[in-house]
Amino acid sequence: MHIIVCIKQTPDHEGPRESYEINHDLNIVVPRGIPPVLSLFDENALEAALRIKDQRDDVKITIVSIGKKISNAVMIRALAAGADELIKMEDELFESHKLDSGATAQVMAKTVKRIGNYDLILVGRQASDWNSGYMGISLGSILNIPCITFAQKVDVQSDALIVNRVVDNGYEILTSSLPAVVMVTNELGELRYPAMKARREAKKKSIIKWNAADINLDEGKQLPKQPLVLVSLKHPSIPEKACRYIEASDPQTAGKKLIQLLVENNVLP
Amino acid sequence: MAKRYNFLVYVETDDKGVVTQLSLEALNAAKKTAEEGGASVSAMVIGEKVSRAVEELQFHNIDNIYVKEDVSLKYYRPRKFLAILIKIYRLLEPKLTIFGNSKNSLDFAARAAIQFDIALVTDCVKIEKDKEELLFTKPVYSNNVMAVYAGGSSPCIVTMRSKSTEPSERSELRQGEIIKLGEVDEPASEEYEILEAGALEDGGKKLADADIIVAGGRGIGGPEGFLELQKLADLLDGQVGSTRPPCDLGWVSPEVQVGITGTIVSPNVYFAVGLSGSFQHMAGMSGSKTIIAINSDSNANIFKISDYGIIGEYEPVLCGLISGIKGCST
Ligand SMILES: Cc1cc2nc3c(=O)[nH]c(=O)nc-3n(C[C@H](O)[C@H](O)[C@H](O)COP(=O)(O)OP(=O)(O)OC[C@H]3O[C@@H](n4cnc5c(N)ncnc54)[C@H](O)[C@@H]3O)c2cc1C
Ligand SMILES: Nc1ncnc2c1ncn2[C@@H]1O[C@H](COP(=O)(O)O)[C@@H](O)[C@H]1O
Repeated sequence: MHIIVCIKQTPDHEGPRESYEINHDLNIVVPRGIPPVLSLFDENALEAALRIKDQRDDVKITIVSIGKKISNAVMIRALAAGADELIKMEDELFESHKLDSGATAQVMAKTVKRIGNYDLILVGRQASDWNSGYMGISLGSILNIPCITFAQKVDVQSDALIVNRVVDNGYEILTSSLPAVVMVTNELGELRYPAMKARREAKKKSIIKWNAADINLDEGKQLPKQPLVLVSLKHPSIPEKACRYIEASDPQTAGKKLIQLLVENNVLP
Repeated sequence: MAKRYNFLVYVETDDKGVVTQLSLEALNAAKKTAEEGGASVSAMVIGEKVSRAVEELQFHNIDNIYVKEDVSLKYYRPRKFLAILIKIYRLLEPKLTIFGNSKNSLDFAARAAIQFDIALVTDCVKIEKDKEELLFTKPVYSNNVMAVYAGGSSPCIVTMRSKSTEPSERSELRQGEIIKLGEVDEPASEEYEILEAGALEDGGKKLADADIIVAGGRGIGGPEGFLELQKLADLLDGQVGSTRPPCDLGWVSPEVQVGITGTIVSPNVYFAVGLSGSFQHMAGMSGSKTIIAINSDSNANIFKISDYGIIGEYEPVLCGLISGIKGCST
């Protein structure tokens, strides 16, 4: 069984606000001093694939990442965790602000078709940079295969897919045929941490480099026009408060003092 | 404005058939934008039993209420629901369709945008009108940047982030035309079948409605620490909340996650214990009236938006808080 996991490379989402510099002339975000990482929820998608691999012997996991430039140093983490190969779909055309999620799905669909055989495609809930959350549904629609969103558990039983889906205040257990696209959410759990040995061995795994021409996408002629126009980017203002610090001889007393103060100020009854 | 536009709002109901808070917010966003541009506002309700919601919607100053009620519509089914939307779309030709940003709505909105081949803005926090154009604001780069998009002349679909506007207010006047949708072209099959569906303990809803929340982060260190937070929450008649890591690590149940991918809350009192104050978390709780931070790192971001703070290891502080409430000396 062949599982494709779509992983985007994004600037570290835990960077301080100053690190997301805005270039107003070009209307783009320029990350400063923060390293690229695996987009947060894509780690959960990979973990879902690895759990299926834990259960069966016939699983091959291929990672596909689309971008202007994909760093081996970032992707090695995914290979070390247990993926078998990486396809880097690199091109000037694929810069993150040039490709919305719909266009990404078009590129991904062509990439997947070039790969040929696959049983399951896993994507993350939303990319940590543009936070859209609909690449998976677009991909399913282009490939004309089912798409299940917000999966917290993904199982393959004989030839059927069984997914536990999170809904607001509830869950659903769903089944569909394969191949299918599944969007994975963080409830599934964190990506396992690779051992040192696995990290070393990961460097020997296969890394394939393709570009737009390899999937017959040249000069962006076939890239769909982005329906939305980005007008402006700005930093949000969060109103800061003057924090009143409670100090005392020891932390326990500080806690007690705080409760007294909260009651005095009618914050607590 | 020369042409009168139509706006459409997808209204969801809870398991009791009551319109959700998020849908009332989406409705209000539609009404506010419509006021600026003189558009009409319609709502659509799809479900097994929707009479209660329809009656409620009649008091919200809506022009048309499209209704499709059927036993087979108890749960969201992508193809069935989309077939219904296609029918309404043909009748109304809405310039803007607004969904709440719930999980099912996000799924539905994305499928609709693909079906109609139009723009989609997910997790939108603000809709404005600029001359003839609609502008949509959406937080990107983990809430560190706000992006403003223009929809142009073609129709758009948005999903609204929870708590980004006030809910629509009920009026005295009962109005709005109820349009029952008759037969809808049934899709031949669904993309998937439902084997089982169930409700959770209502964790998210309890959290959204809580007056006091005691939230912990990675600094709590394990499930035992969360039991201590639970003690404080119980004493205050509040609820336990969490950042993302404790949920992912299995220290607490995922429904209690607060933040942009969890529940967005605005209680009277929010205790932020052993959490640093990431923007994804703060965007989910900065609307709280009083924020109290307890953190061993004096530089933690959370202090910047807090009213009260204690710098120190949380365990003894928590002990002090608990004994302070119990009123006994230790
Ligand atoms: C697209 C996206 C969506 C996300 N959605 C959410 C979301 O909805 N909600 C969310 O919370 N996160 C979300 N995140 C994750 C977010 O970026 C952070 O990783 C997370 O909020 C950090 O959690 P934390 O503050 O508990 O952990 P940390 O940042 O690790 O902070 C732990 C804190 O505990 C303190 N500490 C440690 N030990 C002690 C002690 N003994 N006593 C007192 N203090 C102590 C430390 O000083 C530190 O400040 C999202 C990320 C992305 C990219
Ligand atoms: N450039 C990319 N390369 C690989 N996967 C991607 C890319 N962009 C999006 N994805 C996948 O699609 C998911 C949802 O992205 P989005 O809809 O853009 O928020 C991500 O979590 C990834 O799994």
